Amino acid sequence: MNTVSILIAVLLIAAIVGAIRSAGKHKGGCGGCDGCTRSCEKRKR
Amino acid sequence: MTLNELGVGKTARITAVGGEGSLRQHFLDMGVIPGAEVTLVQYAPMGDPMELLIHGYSLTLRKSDAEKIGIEAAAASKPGPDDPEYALHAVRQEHPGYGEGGKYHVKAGENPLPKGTVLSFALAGNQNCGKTTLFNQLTGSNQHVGNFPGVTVDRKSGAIREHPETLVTDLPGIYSLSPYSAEEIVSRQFILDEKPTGIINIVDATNIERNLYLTLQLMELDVPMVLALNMMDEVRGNGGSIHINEMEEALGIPVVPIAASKNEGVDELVEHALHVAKYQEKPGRTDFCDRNVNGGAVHRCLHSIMHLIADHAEEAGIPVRFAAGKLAEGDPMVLEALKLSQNEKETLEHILLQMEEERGLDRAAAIADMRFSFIHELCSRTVLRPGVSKEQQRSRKLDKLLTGRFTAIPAFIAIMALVFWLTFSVIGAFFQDLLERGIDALTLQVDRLLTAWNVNAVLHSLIIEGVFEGVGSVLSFIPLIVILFFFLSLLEDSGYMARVAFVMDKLLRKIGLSGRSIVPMLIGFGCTVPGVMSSRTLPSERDRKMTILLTPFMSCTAKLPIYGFFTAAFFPSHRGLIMVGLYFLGILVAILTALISKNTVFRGEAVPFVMELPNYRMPGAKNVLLLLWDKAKDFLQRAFTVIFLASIAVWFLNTFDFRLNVVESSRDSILSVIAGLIAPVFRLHGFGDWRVVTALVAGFVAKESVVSTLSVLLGSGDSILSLLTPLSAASLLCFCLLYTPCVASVAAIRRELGAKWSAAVVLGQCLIAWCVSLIVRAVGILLI
Repeated sequence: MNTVSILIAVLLIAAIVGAIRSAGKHKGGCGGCDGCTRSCEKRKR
Repeated sequence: MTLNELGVGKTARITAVGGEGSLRQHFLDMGVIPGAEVTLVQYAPMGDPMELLIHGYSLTLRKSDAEKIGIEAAAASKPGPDDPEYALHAVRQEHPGYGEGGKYHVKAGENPLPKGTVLSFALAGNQNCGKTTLFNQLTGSNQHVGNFPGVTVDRKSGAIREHPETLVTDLPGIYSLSPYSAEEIVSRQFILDEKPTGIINIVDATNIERNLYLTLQLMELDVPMVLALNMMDEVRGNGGSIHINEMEEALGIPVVPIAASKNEGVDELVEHALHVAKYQEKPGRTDFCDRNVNGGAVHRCLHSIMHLIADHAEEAGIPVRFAAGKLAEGDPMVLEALKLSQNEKETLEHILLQMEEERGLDRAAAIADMRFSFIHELCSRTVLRPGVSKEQQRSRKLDKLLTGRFTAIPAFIAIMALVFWLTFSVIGAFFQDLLERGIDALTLQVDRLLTAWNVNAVLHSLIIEGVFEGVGSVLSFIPLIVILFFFLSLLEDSGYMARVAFVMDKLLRKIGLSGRSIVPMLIGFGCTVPGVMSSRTLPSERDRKMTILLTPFMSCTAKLPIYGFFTAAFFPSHRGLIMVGLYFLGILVAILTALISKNTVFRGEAVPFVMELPNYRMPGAKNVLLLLWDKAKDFLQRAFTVIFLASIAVWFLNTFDFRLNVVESSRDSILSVIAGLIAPVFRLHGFGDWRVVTALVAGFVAKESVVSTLSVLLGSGDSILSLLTPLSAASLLCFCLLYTPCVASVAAIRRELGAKWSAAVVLGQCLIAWCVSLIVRAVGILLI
C-alpha cells in the first residue's frame, strides 16, 4: 500500500470510530424532543 | 333544556353539569360550571362537535356530552370597558414588589435556604399559554413551541441564563391538578414529590379567568410562587389592562406582566422568582373560600376537612389545604395517599353531604364554583378586558373558511395537497436535484483523484461504493424532509392543527378515535417518534394505545428516499401520483386496522372531545427556522453516523466471503449467504432477491438505509431495473411503506406502551406489509 492509501485508511478508521461514538450518543429522535434520547433516558434513571 | 339544544350564536347560562367521574371534573376545571354563560359559536362541518365560547375562550364539546349540561336562557353579555363590572379600581396601590419594601417580600416571614442550594423551579401553566416560549427565554434553549394544546409532552430542564445555581423544569400544560390526563398527574407528582423550591406559574393574560383556576390550585400547594401574566402585549394592544398591584395584593404572590415572545418583563420575573425561592416566601394565602359567600357552606366544609386530616396530610407530605380541596372534589389518589381510618372517611362523607345540602350543589361543582367565584370577583376588580380581541376577530374570519360547514373539508384537502405538491414537486424537488448533481460531481472528482493517486483497490471500493454511494444517495433527500417538516410546523404553529382535530372528530369517531388523535398522526408524516410521543396528551389509555399503533402507518419522511429511488427508476412519469398513492394507502391500512381493532382489542368509545381552540397566530420565523435547522442537523447526524456505519457494514459483508477474501462476484459474499436464507419469504412478491432483502433488513435501523444499502449493493440506479419489474417494485414500495417502523420508533413505542406492545407492532406491521404487498402484486398480475 502506498502512503496515500495508508493515510486514507487511518482517516477512515478515525471516521468510523467517531461515527460509532456519536451514534452511541445520538439523540435517536427526529422531532425536537429530548425525551427519546438515550442520554435523557439515563438522566431519568 | 340542555346545551345540545342551543342555537348557533345564542347564549345561555349553565344550570347543571351532569356526567360523572374524572370527565365531569374536567368539565368543571375547564370552567363549565353552573352559573357560567356559554355561547354556541358553530358546529363542526359534519354536525359534531360544537365550538362554544365560555369565559372568553373557545371550547369544543361533542353533542353527546353537551346533552349532560343543563342550561337556561340568558342574554348575551359583552364585557367591555363600558361594563361597570370590569371598571378598574380607582385607587392606585403602592407597588409591593421586590426591593421596594413591599408587602409580599416580608423579612419576618423569610426562611432563607442555605448558600449553594440549587434553586429549582417548576414552570407550570395551562396548555398553549407560552410556557415553552418562556422556558426558552429563561434558559436560552431552543425547544420547539407550537400553537396547539399539548406540544410539550415531556418535561425539560435547564438553568436560568446567568444563574447557574438554578434549574427550571418546563412541565406539560395542564388545566388543573385533578387526575384527568396523564400530564396532570405527572405535573402534580413533580411538584409534590420533587419539591421544587419555587413555582413559576405562567398565565395567558388574554384568557385570564380560566388560567387562574390552575393558579389557585398551585397556591394551595403552599410552595413559593410567582405569577407571570404572559401575552400582556396582546392585552394592551387590544385596549385591555390588568391592575397588577391589586392582583398581587389579592393573591399574596408577586405578579409580573410579561410578553415571553418579545422577552419583555422576563428579567423582572427572574428577580422575583429567585427571591421567593431563596427566601422561601410562601403564598400570602392558600384559602379562597369565603365565610360570607353562599352562607359559608364551602368554607366550613373545607376547614372542617383540614382539621380532620391535618395529621394524615403531614405524614403523607401533602399540603393540608390542597389535600382538603382534593378530598372535597373526590380525588381517589389523595384519599388513598392519606390513609384515613374508616371512621375518618365516614366523618369526611358527612361533612361533604352537609355542605352539598347547604350549598345546593354537588361537591365537585361546589369546589369549582368556589374557585371561579373568587376568580370572577378578582378579575372584576383588576382586569379591564376589551370586548373581542383582534386575534379573536381574525380567528373568527379565518374559521368561517377553515371550519365552515361546506369549506372545511375541501380546505383541508387543498392545504394538504398544496403542502405535498410544494414539497415533492416544486421546492423540494428543485433543491433535491441541485444537491444530487453536486453529490454526483463530488463522487466523480473523488473517484478520479483516488485513481490518480493509485489508492489500494479495496480502499477505493470502500470509499466510492461504500461511503459515497451509501451516504450520498441518502443526503440528497435532505431538502424534501426539511421542507415537509417546515410545512407541518407552519400548520401547527398557526393553530390550524387544532382546527383539523375539530373538523375531523366525527370522522375519526367512526373508526373509534377522537379528533385529537389526528395530530399525532399528522406529526407522524414527519417522523413517527414525535408522533408517538405527542399521543401522551390524549386523556384515555385506549385512545392513546390505538393512536400509537396507527401512527407508524403514516408514511414518515425517512421513507421518502425509498419512494424517490424506486419511482425515479420504474415510474418516472408518475412519480407524484405514486407517492400520493402510497400516502393514501398508509392511511387506508390505518383505517382498516382501526376498524378491526375497534371491534376486537379496543372495544369501547373514544374519549370526549373537550379541547380549547387557540386563536390563529403568525408562526414565529425564529421558531420555524430553529426547527428546520434541528431537522437538517438531525438528518445529517444520522447520515454521517448510523447510515455511514450501515453503508460500511453492508459494503464489508458484500465485498468479503466468510474467509475474509475479497469476492469477485457479490453472489459469493457473506451478505448473499445470510440474506439468501430470508429471500424465499418474498419470492411470491417478486422481490425475493438477497440484495433487496438485505436492504429491507438494513431499513430496520433507519429507513433511509434501504436506499443506501441498495446503492452499495447495486452500484448505480440502472441495475435495479434488471432486478425488479415495475409490478414487483410497486409491491416492494407497499412493503416498505407498511413494514416495521425503524428502531427509534420501536424504542419510542416501547417506552409508551411496553415491550409486549412494541413487539406486537413490529410483528403485526411486518405481517400486514407482507399481506398487502402480496395483494398488490396479485391484483397487478390479474389486471395486466
